[in-house]
Amino acid sequence: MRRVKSLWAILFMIALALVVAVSGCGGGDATTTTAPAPTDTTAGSAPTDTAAAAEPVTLYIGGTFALTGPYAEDCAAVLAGYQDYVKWVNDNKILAPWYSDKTIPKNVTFDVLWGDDALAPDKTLTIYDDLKSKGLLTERVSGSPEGMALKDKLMGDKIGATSQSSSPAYLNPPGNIFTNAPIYTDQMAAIAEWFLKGWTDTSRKPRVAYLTADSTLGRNLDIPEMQAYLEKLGYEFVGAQYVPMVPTAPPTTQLAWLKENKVDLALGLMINPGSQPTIKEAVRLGMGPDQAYKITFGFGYPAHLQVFAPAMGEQGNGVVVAGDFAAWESNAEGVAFANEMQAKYRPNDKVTHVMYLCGIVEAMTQVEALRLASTQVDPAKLTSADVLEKGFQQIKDLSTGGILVTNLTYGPGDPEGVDEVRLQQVQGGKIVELGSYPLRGIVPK
Amino acid sequence: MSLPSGTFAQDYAQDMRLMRTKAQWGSMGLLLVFLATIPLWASDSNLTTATIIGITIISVHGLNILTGNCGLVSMGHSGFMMVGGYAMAILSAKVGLPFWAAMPAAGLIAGIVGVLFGLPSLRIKGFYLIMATVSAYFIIHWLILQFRDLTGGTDGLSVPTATFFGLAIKGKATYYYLVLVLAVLATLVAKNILRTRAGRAFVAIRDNDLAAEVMGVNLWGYRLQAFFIGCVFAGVAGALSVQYYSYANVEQFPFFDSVWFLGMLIVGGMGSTSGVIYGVLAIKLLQLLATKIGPSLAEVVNPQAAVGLSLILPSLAIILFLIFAPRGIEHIWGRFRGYYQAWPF
Amino acid sequence: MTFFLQLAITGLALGMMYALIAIGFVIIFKCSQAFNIAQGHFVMLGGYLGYTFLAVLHLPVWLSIIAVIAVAVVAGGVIERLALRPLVGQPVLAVIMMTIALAGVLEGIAILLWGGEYKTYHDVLPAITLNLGAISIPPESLIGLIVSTIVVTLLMLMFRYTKIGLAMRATAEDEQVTRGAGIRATMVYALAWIIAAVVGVVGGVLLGGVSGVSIAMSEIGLKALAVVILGGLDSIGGAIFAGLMLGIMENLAAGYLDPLMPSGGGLAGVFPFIVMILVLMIKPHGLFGLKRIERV
Repeated sequence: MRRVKSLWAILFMIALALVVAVSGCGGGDATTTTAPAPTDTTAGSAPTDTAAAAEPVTLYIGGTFALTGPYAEDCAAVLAGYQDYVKWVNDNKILAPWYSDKTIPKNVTFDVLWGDDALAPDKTLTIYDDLKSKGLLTERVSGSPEGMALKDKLMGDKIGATSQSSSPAYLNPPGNIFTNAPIYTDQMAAIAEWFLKGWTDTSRKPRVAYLTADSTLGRNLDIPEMQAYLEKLGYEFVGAQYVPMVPTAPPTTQLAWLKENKVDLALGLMINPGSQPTIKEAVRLGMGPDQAYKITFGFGYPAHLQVFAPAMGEQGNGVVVAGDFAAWESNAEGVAFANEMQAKYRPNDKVTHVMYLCGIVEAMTQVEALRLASTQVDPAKLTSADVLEKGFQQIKDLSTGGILVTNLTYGPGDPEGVDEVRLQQVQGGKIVELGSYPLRGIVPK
Repeated sequence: MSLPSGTFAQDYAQDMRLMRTKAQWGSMGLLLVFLATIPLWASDSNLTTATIIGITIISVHGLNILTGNCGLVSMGHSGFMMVGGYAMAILSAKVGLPFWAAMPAAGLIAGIVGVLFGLPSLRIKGFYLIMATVSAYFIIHWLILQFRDLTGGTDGLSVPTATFFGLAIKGKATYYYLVLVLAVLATLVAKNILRTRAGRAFVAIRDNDLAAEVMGVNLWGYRLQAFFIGCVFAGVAGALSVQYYSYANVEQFPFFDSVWFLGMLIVGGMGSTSGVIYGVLAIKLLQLLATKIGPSLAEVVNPQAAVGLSLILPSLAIILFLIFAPRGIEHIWGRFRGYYQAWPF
Repeated sequence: MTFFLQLAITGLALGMMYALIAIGFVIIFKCSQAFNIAQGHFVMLGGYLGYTFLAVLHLPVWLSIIAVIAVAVVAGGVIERLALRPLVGQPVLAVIMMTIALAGVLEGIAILLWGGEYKTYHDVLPAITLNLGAISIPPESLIGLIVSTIVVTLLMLMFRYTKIGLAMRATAEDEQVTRGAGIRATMVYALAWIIAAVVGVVGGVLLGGVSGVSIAMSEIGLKALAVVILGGLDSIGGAIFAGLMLGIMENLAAGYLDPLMPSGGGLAGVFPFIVMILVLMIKPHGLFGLKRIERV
């Protein structure tokens, strides 16, 4: 008898779950009707003035975040940046403290829509559909695999997206995934140029190899143009070694291979959970610029020195990272802005991860795209194509207050926002700027 | 099957019919009408869910024949879906085969690969066979990543929009109908396979393979047949999934999907065709529930709540069913029907 | 030669981890004929617990280890009592699905409690590195060596000299007879799970200290199943031997064959599974496993 009762308990639970699920979907439907514009027939003529007195409009920014899996820590910080920035913009009705002209119409408020795609392309596409039906006119990309999966959809639906990954593939038409970090191959080129400046041995060419993550991210640099460019610079290209995205054992084999093949410079794209164990193991094997075996490790920006250096301390000495954001210690206006927001909106749980700055930059880019588009079209009637063509592609010289190395400029077929690559290195356990290098356009736009 | 009183069969053919009474015809008709009208009222995201559920049903039918009926537990089913998906992607993007030719080919290729990995089943069963199918998944995964020129490696492979005799299968509703037709077809085929000589042989092997062999059932032949049939279903489902996203990537077919498929069989009722449908619905809707309520839990717990819940909820369902109702929803439903049909007795 | 030795030594380290996980699996299988797929998740849990006690609460190492063991004892006991006990006598698939579903719940809980981020507590545990000429022995191999030696010795002593150890050996031999002799088989099952949980969790604390903690840590558990198959499901000696062998072979294969592969190799990830399927085809009961004759 007890068993029968528990059967019913299970049945009841499942029924309940189904009801909640279905009603949850119903809730999703309800939000699809984004604020119908009632009587405003003058759409497009002088929206900012008439809209001021018009119905309140909520515009959404956001997209998919990979809050689980290897990119979790990065994406969680980015999401925090989005949320705080939206609160700030709604409070102050202006794009950033250093702008006086980029005001937000009084009737427009912003909100963040997001979903956790766990870095799975199929989940990304499901969440993408879901958010689109809730009225999101933009999108964001949290990693290269999602970027690859979303590319065609974004093109078909005419949606512009911001991105925290900057795969060379985004340069291919239609170019509507807009990056704020330099394209990965340009980051690698900058490290290669920097290393060559310090190369004094004239008897032989420096030997370069890839030591990169075994994932879409890591393989972004594994293209013929990159190798050709390195050889043109005067390197001898040795080969490539792949480290699991998040290694479950230290990558001794790969490092021993580098030693065996007498590599001087190892270039790669790794996230922190990959780069930290790799460098720890390298130090243990006596490999590094200050170690018995001389080798320099250069990583792309997902290896964030801001996270890497505090965790690794002196062990991380000599590691170079290209294309990252300003350091928390920097006195840039944008960093001060970020600190001010954190003090205001999250006084007790400050986000220390540098990708918080990425969240601010991305959110600012999306808000600016929506703002630009709504100067031409009634905000209540905006379509994603408007936001793409009259927003994202019109962004010129958008200042991030020094969070990024240069101002952001986008255009049709130009999704690479910045014009230079910033290089940073760990020295004595601290982050030191090595200056910035021009983009080399390894993959033609 | 319990039927209302007064239902008689006058010959064998009548007795074997799937639909015996007018009420059955009626309810089936209503169900089909309901399914056919979903695109008219459902939102975009609900349509996506319905399509994915349809694709999963096709795949789990295959697993049900293999595991539920032949007793060969496969924990690499999503690996065989991956084979089908990539076969579809390569055949249509690189070879240029039209959709109607590429999809059956994808099913066939998955079936052949399934037979290859099914070969150890001639010697081993139980835990050992599960482990063999787990390795099958990881080996397939690795091979696909290695042959980058063909498969795109970690970058994945874009697939052109399907055309069906000149008509582009574009838009969610069209694709939903395609999946619906195929899912109904798959259900019919699966149900009927179990009513053939092979189907009865499968059940004999599951219940006691040694006894079945003594009775003259060819173990080798039927085990490989079961693998072939099961993996053809998986291949077709994989092909449909890749075509739906117009993109193929190994991450689309994660290892844990194979576990969920087995969980669906347990929750639905191992070995029963309708149980497959109940099980897929239950697990998929639980996962959907987790994704829906996740963002609102983000404030209370942490931003990853959705993914945590989408692991916990279906896992808990499987645990509870294993302990309290190992024969699944199908059995509970059967008892419930028996109860009200016999009411007030 | 240095390259070869370096690979082999690192492989040994990995092998120690494999062996530790495999031991947990074998203990449960020997005593209760249950297949515990969730052993890798005990390792993951250990990593997170280690992070919590050492890096968040800043407890001293010895106290943390005791706390972690206490949690493991509770977890192992609860899992056995609530989830596995009702399944005694059920088919293989039911038990396997139960442990996998438990793995799902554990992983989900870990995500809810600790988030999906990568955590480290490198500096808390003493870093021990030995250098032999040009080859350096990684700390994991020393840790693995020390822990598995301690674990194996303790288990041997327990099996040999304690009453409960005798009961466990007897249950492994023939459950029916044991019950007849008045030994509580249920207690033996519970104990087996507790031991397995403790072994896994302690390994996890140490591994987490070396290479950081993330959800991905549990993947090693899946690879360690190859060790169990190779060594034989019910042989502790086999688990240790096969673990070491597989760790070394995997590393050598990665070192020498990866460069020959069309796209970077990544053999380390798949090698255990290739071995597994080969063993299953050639010698399904493993090197040291007991062959069982099936009767109708």
